[in-house]
Amino acid sequence: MQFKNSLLLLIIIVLASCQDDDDSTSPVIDKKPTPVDLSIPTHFFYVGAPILPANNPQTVEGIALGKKLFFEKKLSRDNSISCGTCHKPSVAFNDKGNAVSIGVDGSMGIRNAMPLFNLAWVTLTSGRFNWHGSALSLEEQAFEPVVNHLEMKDKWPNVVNKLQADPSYPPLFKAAFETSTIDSTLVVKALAQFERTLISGNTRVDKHVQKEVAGLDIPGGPFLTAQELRGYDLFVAEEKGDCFHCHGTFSNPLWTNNLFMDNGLDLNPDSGLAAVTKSASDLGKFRVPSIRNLGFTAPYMHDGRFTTLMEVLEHYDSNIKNSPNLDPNLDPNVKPRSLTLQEKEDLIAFLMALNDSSFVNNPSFQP
Amino acid sequence: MKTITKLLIAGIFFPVIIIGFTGCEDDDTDDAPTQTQKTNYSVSINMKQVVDGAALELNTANKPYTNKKGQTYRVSRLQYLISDITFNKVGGGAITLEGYHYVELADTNTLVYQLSEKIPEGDYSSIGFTFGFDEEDNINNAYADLNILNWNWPGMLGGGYHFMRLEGDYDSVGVSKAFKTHMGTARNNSTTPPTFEENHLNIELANSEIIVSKDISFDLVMDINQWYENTYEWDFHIYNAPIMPVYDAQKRLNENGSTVFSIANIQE
Repeated sequence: MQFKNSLLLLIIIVLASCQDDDDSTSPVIDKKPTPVDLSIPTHFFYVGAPILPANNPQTVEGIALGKKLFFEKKLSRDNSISCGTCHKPSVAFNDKGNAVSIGVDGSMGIRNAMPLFNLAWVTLTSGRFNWHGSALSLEEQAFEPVVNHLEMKDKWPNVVNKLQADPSYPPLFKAAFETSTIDSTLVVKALAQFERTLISGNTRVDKHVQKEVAGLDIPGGPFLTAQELRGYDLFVAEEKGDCFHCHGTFSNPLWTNNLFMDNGLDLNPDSGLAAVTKSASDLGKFRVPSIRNLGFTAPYMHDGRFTTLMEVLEHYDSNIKNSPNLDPNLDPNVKPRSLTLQEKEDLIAFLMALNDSSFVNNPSFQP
Repeated sequence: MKTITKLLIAGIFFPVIIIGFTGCEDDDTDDAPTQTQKTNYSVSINMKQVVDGAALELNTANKPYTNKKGQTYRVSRLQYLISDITFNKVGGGAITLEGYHYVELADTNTLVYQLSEKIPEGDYSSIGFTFGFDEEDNINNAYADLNILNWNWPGMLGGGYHFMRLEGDYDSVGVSKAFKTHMGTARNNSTTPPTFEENHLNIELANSEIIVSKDISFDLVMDINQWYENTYEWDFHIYNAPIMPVYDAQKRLNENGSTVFSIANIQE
């Protein structure tokens, strides 16, 4: 760490000395964007460090610009909505109760706005973003909503012109990317940098994992109640909840594998991942969402069809449809889960212990 | 085992390296030094999966496979783990190349296992490996790349990791049903408290003698139907899912596993 800091300092000194030499046209000395590491909770070592794109390193200035752009309504055709309109920080960046979201001109979307957190780790498994996996990076993802015909309905050149004409933006782009000339690539880079900072890892379950599983020296505890621990046992029991094959155990703080599965919602499902891969075996598969912050992100599923977690559990317990690519973990013909009411309540109690109020209240994430 | 292996490797490598360097110094001009120095060779394993000799295909809706019991089935997912590739030396002793490899049949990037350690040149009587993790390596939560894939085997079943997930569906009476052949530590509930039995396989491949004098590669072939027939004739009606907590199922997979693997296409 010491070495790293010294190296950084050295780089900064070297770069600074370069700038002194060649900037003859402007009296202002250009400042390089300031590199900054993601703030990663200790027990996230269980899933390894995320791999960040080499061409878009995290910087203080890039993140600040990304946050401003995230809440910028000029990204929509009639300047009426921003990313933050449908991804609200107060509900883990979900659309607060809306099954689907309303775009420009009142257009109704077809998918539930995904909550946004711990996205930097997606590239370690599927590497696919959106419910149906259409984007292969956060930068690529950010291109889509601006031009989507149900969402922001704008065109990128138009958005870029609007930002360029706004006197507040060129200096921010200059600070973040060393150019005042805005283009769409820089806009999505900044957005992606901000989104990568959205890390949720500070719940009672996290504290339990840090202390009881990883053996870290954490004050306080016990952090989980007997009921919540019973819920966890049901969660990882193949003969009961069998949730863990997709959502993980105490050693996966993401609480998802970010892979794509068909969870038996419909006999004739929405195309899902197959719309992207054109493979029949991907029909009806959607990205496995994290089970963090469920207390903030109702309604549930890719189309927001379930209002409560009890409805979700009843789906897995007794309403699975035998869809074409139904995940073998869910086949109701083999072994119904047969969860009692008490067991469902225990499971929900465990899930609620994964609500991260420090995440939704984090001042760094507010507009 | 690891320490012993490292000592073994050290014992073999160091004299060889010293000899290699001395050799270089002796011949001055006519021999490329890289040739004489290079006494360790890379190992590349092609992970192959077959059913009764033909390459396994996923999701073969119209072309089911048949197990020995006559039950027809299709495979939708195959993931498994091997570790500790071992070269048994002619005349005794063995060299284990530490490490593990996770195979996801749907991900072609995982179908070649390029070992990070190299193998010293020499004559080897056979090649072996561990299917899954042995007790020493099957450590709770120890491997980040497996944790993120939810490969952990729950603590209530003894912990560690899955060794295999072989999944699909089979034809039952008038309906197809899922099977999930998941393998890992076996929990014995007949004792109080329950006891846990390690369940990995130590495989020594038949006809795997090899002379290492350059980089080598071979196919490691898994025959899916062998999990289901030799010696226990697997019945999907009995062992469909869940079988992770079912002791007998876990032990029978272990018993059947000894004939599942073979070696082919050795490039030496």
